[in-house]
Amino acid sequence: MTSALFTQLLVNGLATGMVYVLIASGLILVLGVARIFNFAHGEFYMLGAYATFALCQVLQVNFFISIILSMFVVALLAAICYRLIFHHIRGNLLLCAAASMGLSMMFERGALVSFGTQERGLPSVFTGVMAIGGAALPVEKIAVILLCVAIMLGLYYLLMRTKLGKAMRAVKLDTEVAALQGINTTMVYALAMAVGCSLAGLAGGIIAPLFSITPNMGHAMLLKCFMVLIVGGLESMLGGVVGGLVIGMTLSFGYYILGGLSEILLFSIIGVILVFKPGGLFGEVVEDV
Amino acid sequence: MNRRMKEVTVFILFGILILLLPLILKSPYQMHLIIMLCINIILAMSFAMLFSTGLITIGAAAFWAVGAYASTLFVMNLNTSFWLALPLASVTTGVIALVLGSIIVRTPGVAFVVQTMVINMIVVQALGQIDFLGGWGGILGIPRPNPIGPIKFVSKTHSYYLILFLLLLTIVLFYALYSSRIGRAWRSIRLNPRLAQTLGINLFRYRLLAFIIASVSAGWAGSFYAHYFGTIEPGTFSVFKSIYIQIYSILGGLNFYIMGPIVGAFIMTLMPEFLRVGKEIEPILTGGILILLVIFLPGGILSIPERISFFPKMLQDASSRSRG
Amino acid sequence: MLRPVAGDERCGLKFVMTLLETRTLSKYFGGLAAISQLDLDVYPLEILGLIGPNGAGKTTLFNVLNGFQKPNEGRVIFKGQDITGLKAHKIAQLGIGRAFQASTLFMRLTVFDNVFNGFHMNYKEGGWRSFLHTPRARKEERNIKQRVMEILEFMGLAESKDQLAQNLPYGHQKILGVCIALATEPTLLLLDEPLNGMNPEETSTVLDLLNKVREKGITILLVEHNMDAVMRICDRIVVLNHGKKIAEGLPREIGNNKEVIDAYLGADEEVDGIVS
Repeated sequence: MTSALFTQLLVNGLATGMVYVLIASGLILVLGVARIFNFAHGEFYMLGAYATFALCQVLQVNFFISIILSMFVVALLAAICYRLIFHHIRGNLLLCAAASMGLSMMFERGALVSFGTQERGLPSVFTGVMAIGGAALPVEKIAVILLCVAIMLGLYYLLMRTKLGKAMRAVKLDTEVAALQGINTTMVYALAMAVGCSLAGLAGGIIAPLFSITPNMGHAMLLKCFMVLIVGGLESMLGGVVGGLVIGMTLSFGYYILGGLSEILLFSIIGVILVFKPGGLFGEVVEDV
Repeated sequence: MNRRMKEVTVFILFGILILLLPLILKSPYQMHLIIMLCINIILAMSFAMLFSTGLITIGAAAFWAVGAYASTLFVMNLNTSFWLALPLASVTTGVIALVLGSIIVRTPGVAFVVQTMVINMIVVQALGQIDFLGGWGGILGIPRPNPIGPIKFVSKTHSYYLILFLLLLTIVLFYALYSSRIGRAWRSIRLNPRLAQTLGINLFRYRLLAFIIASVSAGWAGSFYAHYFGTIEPGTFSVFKSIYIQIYSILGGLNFYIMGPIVGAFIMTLMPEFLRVGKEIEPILTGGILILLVIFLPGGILSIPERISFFPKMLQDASSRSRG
Repeated sequence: MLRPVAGDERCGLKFVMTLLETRTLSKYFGGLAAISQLDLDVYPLEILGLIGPNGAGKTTLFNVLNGFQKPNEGRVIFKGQDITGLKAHKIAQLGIGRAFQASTLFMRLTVFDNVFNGFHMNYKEGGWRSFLHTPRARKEERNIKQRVMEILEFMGLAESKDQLAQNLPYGHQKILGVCIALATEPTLLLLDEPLNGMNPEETSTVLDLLNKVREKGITILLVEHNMDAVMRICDRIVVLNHGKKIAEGLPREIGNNKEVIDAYLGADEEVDGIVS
């Protein structure tokens, strides 16, 4: 393998991986802070893409502003969903699973009815290639990487340096104690869901120029997201980063080497990881006995 | 008429209704729905059996797939009769369940849920990638069950009676298990695994048993499905189907291992038909109703009788009743 | 495992087979020793009290004896058989039963069903025959139902038999825990603070019941903080502190033992008073 090819595959893997990291981080945040497993998480990704598309293509808004606006739309929608639905069943994972499946059905079909089945797309904002290390790298992909990294840094800042972030971490550690400390846990849960889902929405907006937008793109993404959680552990943000990058890289290099079989390879590796580390690479297993 | 007589009468009337259903429903589409309902009930019961030991699975569809594909291969590649393929496919599913179960049942809790999901994903992926198994397009033209005398299993009516028989068999089997020492052990494990151990209950063995039986029942449902529907493709057996299977049980009532699946599957399979809206909008309504049911009836439909006797408590916040 | 036992002054030494013994039993968590080099003997049909300040290692000892934890060092020998490291259900099958400190019950089942489930090990027509509901199996089930009522009547819970375990008052829940353990027909019963939170009247009732349990042929190893009760009912007492045995002997000897008194006062413990 030439170094040029290697670099291309690497950048490819990084771009895909960072997108997974972004979406998975959102899911992990919601799971860790609000203890909700949101099966509709993929749909927020899809909605972010459509919102960006609608703003950018239909209303001719600047791409970057579209992304930010769609982020707010998704965040607001997520907060509403929390208050109306998950607030009542929070803590019971099975009920949340069922409710979020219902939500997923509604969103997917809603998007289908609104936008139709044909694939949508946005024209590329970043065009051309950059030459790095002898390889011709699409600027688009580099832009994706940079955008995702920037957002993750923003997330880090939010969680570590702001009051809200501290509240979220406190709630994640122990909700009762956090409540006793005067933290409005309901608000924190709603905001966690808003932030988590908007991460997915942002990811949707970012990839809108690269991939086709369809109503069921959320499903496939959700499965990839599960894989990230499996590899990285359900509770660890760091795990999400590692997991996302690992999966992105494996798929990128894997497709080149193995073609379609790369997915089976990936699943099998995950299966083996699970046997030895049932909680994922960074996770902890809480036994019931 | 005292209470008992009333119950028996209702039971008998209901039984007659079920047996005469093909005479009442004329449209093949409606019969198809009922047949799918029966399959879904078996699948939901499979989930519920594992749940009765405290294990949550989102991989039931994987074993449904194993049964379907195994049976298809036996009939189409090895020229066996369907009537032999059905038990063989069930055994195949059982063996695979034994192997996988022995590994994953050791780690109950969240790890188990994740592992079942991975198994499901691997199975679907493998079925899609391996051309010998039909790839993503699946296998077409699966033959009907071999005729028994004059019964040719071409009409929906014949298929209906076959699946009805399988369903009733499954129900009787499961009921016998739940009301035996084994069922008590399962309930003990679910309610308090620690205490169950001090009662001499081997958690691993009983959970593995539940895993195998649950998977095998999904397997024979799969075998029937393959030869009834005529086509099988990997997409049908995805993780999302497994989650739907969960929902059947949740809607009906997680604490009711047989009636819960029946009620829940009934609602989810037939509700779309009762909503007289366009096929396009229907999932939106179904999704919405599902959400409402989950919020207001966290214990499932079958928890309503309890609720009625505790009417004043209904005014409380629903969140305090959601611990299942 | 014949061990000399100090009888009272008239009889001199006696030799008795131990029912359970531990030899140099140790259990560490991280660097901390919860139990350290513990030698413990339990004799048949005695009521042995295990006392000590909080953190002395009593619950850990129970967990090891039960099979919930594996010891790092040492052996546990029960009825002559080495049971060190066996799984919990196997140890239960060999005859060691346990009633827990916190109410460990099948909360959503009735009192009756709780005890019924306790009979799991004691079926002759278990497994296939139970599944097939053969006449013998059904007869056995009726028989077990009778035995459940016997236990409930014996322990005084018969009236509550249809109540959900979670609706019982705390004291009754603890008694129910003992009932479930009795259903397993143990040879040795480990009781973890059965008198916790009981008023003097309830305590007396339970102590009487414990004597009756012993009369049925069950040996009792009892962890308790209620010193008065311990002095009244136990034949012998073993005192633990920081995972080590610091005293062993008859109640009146323990009551006067300076080390024991120091251990309790030093541990800032609230104790119901050491009776001498």
